[in-house]
Amino acid sequence: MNILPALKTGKLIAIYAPDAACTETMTLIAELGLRGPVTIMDGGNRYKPYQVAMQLRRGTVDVSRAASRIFSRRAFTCYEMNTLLSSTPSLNHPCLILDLLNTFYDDHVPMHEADRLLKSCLAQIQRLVLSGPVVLTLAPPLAEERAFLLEQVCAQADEVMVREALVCQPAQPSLF
Amino acid sequence: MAETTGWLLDVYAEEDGITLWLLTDAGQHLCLRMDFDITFYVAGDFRLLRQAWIYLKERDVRLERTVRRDLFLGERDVMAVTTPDPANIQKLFGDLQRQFPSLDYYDVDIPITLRFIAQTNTHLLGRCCVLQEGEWGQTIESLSSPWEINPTPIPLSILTLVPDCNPAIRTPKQLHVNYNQKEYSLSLQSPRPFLISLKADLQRIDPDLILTDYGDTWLFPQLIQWSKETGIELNLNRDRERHVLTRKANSYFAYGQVTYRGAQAHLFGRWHIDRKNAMSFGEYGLEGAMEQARVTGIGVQEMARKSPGAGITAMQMLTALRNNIMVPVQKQQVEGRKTLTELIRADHGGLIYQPIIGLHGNVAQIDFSSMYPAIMVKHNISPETVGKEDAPEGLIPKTLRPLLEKRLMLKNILSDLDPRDCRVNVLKARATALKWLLVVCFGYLGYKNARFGKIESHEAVTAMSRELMLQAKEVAEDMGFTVLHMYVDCLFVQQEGFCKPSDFTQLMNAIEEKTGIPIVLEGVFKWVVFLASRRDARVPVPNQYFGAFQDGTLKYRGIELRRRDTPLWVRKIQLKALEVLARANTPREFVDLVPDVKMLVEGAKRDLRNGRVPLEELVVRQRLSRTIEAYKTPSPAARAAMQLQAHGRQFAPGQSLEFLFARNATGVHAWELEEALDSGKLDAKRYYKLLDRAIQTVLTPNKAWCDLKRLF
Repeated sequence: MNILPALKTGKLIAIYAPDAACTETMTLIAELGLRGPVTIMDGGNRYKPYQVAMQLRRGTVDVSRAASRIFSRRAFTCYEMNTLLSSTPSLNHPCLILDLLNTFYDDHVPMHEADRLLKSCLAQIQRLVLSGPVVLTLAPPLAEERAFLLEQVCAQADEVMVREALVCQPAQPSLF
Repeated sequence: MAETTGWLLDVYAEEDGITLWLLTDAGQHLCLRMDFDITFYVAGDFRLLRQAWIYLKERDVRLERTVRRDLFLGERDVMAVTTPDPANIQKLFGDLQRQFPSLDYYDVDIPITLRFIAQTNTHLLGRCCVLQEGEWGQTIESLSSPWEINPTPIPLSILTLVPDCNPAIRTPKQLHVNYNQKEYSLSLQSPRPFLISLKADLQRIDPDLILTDYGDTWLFPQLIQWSKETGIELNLNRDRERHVLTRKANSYFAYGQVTYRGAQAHLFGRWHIDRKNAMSFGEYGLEGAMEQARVTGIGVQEMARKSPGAGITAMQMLTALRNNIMVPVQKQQVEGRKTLTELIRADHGGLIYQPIIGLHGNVAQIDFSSMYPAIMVKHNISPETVGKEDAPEGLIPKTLRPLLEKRLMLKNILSDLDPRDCRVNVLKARATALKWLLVVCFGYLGYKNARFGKIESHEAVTAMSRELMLQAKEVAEDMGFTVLHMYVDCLFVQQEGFCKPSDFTQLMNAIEEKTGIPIVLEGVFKWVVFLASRRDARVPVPNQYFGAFQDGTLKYRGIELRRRDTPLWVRKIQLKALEVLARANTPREFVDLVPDVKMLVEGAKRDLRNGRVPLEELVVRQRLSRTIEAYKTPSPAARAAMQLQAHGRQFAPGQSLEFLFARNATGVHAWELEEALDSGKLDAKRYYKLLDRAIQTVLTPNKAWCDLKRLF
C-alpha cells in the first residue's frame, strides 16, 4: 500500500484495516520523518516508536535529526481525542491520526455521546486538512451497533484505502 | 434535643435528604434523617451557560454564579446547581447533559457518603456524636479519625448464610445458618417453612451484616422469588421502606483480561457481603474491607465488591472536595507533545534487570517499601505538579501521605509482634487492604478513566524509580556486593562471607540515605534460584525465581505454584518438592536432595494411577476470554463450557470454568456436570505431564550443578 504519492494538502485519506494498518503507518511515519516534520495523534496505542526509529536508521545516519521532527500525542478516551484535536493548531505539514475510532468503540461511552464527540472531532480534522495532508487509520468496530461511526468517518474522507486482513498461508517448513 | 454517640454504619440518599444508620454505645440501631443539599457545577461557553440557567430555572434547584477551582485549568467561572434531593441528582444531570452536552460538568457523580464525609468531617465506621430531634439529626460531630491505628472495635452482629453446595452445580437442599458461634441448618425443600424460619431469625438476630456464599447470584434472587410466590413478605433490609438493591452481572476488560462480575444484592441499614462475589475478600476478609471503607469513604458492602482502584478514586475525590477542587465527570487533559526521542526516553516501566541464571547461596533480598507511592509523596508527583518547580503539595501526594504512613505504622507494629499474637491476623488483613490501595494508586495516574490522571505523571514515577534503583545498585557495588537481580522495587545482593541479616544493615542504611525511600530486608536466602527460559537456556526470566530463607520459609514467584490454572495436586507436589529442597543449607547440599524429590514424584504418580488422588485436587480452573461462539479453536475451558451449555447453562466472557482432563472426545469433563467422571476415564498422562513440567522447574538448577560436579 503506497500512501505517500496520495498525500496532498486539502486531502483526507482514511486507511481501513483490521489492525488499523499499523505496519504501513509506521513505514509512512518514518518516510515522512525523513522528509520533514510530521505530527502523530494516537487514539489506539498503535504508535510503535522503536519500529519507526529502526526504519529511520535504514534511511539516514542522522537519526536524531529525523526523530526530532516526529511529534506525537496520545489520547486514551474519546474525550481526550476531542481535546487533542481541538488543541492542535493548523499545521502545514502532514498529520497522522492513528486508530481514530478506537476510543469511540468503548462501550462505556454512551452511543449519543460517541456520536457527538466524533462530529466535533471530524470538524477539527476538516480544519487540519485545510493546512496540510491528513491520514487517519481505522479499525473495524468491536460491536456492530457502533459501525455508524466508521461510516461517518469514511463519508468525510476524500479517499478510503482498504487493506484486507493478512491471510497466513500454510508454509512448508524446510527439512534442513 | 438528645445527644447520642456511636459508630456510623451507613449513609444513603433520600429524596429529601439522607438517611444515617448508627450503632449506638448502648447497642441500639439508630436511624436518622438529615437535610442534605447537593451542589454540582457547570462551566463552559457563557451563552450556553445562560441557556442552561434558563432551562434549570423551572426546576426545584438553587442557581448561583460562583468561582471554583479546576485542578488543571485553575479558577473558573461556574454555575452552581444546588438541589435538596440527593436521590435524583443523576436524573437532573442526565437531563441537563442531554440538552447541553458540550458544557463541562463537575461534582456530579460523587457518592453520597463522600459528600457527607467531606462536609461533616466524619468517616464511615468511625465514632461520632449526633444531636437529634425526633428522627431528624441536627448536627453530627466526629469523635475519631480514619487514620487511627487502633480504632475502637465495632460490636457487629453477623449472620452467616451458606448453602450446602454450589448452586451453579446442583440445587442446594440446606442452608447453613451461623450466628454468634451457634450453627444450624434450614431445609430448602419447601420454600414456605424456610421463609418463615428465616424471617423469624432475621427479626430475632437483627444482624448488622449478612455474610453469605452465593448470596448475590443465588440466595437473594431466590429469596425474592420465593417471597413473591408464597406471598410471605420478607424484607432483608433493616430499613423497611427500601427494597433490596440489585445490580446486573457484567463482563469488563481490565489489566489485559476479561473479568466477570456477578449480579449484586445490596441492603439498606445493614450490609450484605457475598464472599464468593467480593473481589479481594478472600485475601483480607471483613477486617480488610472495613479498613478500606474507613479510609476511602465507600460503604463496606460496596467496597467489598469493588476494586481497590475505586477506593483510591474515592480517596482522591475526598481530597478534592476537602480542598475545594472540582471533580470533573470526564478527564480531558491530554498528553503534551513529544518528539520520537523524548517518547522513547520517557515511555518506560520499572527497571527490570536480567538476573544471573542459576543457584546462588546467601543472597539478601532488599525491598523498597511501597516504592511508587513513596516516590509520589516524597517527590510531589501529581498530574498538576509534574514538570513544575516548587509546586505546592499536589492532590495525589496529599491523598497518599496518610495512607502510606498508616500502612508503615501497621507494618512496624506487626514486625514487633509475636506471630502467635491474636492481633496479628487482624493487623495483617488491615495492612494488606491498605497495601492494595497503594498498589493501584500508581496505575491510576495513567489510567484512562482516572479523574485526576496524566500520563506524564505516570512516566515521572517510573523514571524516578529507575533512577533510585540504579542509585541503590551503585551503592551496593561500591560496598563490594554483587547485584544478582533487580526487579522494579527490589534487589538481590550477595557478598562472600555475608550471611546474617545484620551483615546487610550497613548497606541498607546507605541505600536509604542515598535514595530517601524506606527499605526493608525481606530476608536472607540460604539459596535462591533464578530460572532460565524454557526456549533458550541462555535467556533469564526476570519474574521467575524460588528460594529458601534461613528460617526454612520458602519464597517463589512465577512458577506453577503461583498459577491459578495449575491443579491443586500439582501445586501440592511442587510445594512438597520445594520443602524437601529447603532442607539444603547450601547450594552444594541441594544436589543431594534430588533423589528424595524424584521419590516424592514417583509416589505421587503412583497415587494418581491407583485412584488415590481425590478428583477435587485435579480440577483445572481456567477463564473464558470471549463468548463460546467466538472461539475458532476452543480452549479446554471453552470445551467444558460447551458441555455445560448443552445442559442449559449460560456463560459470559471472564467467567471461570472448572474441569478435569479426561480421555473422551473433547478431552475435558466439566466439573459442574451432574454425572461424575469415572476415575478410569481420567487422562492421567496429561496430569503426569503437568507434574513433570512443575518438577522440572524446581530441579532445573540441579542439572547445571550435576554437570559442574562432573567437570571437577
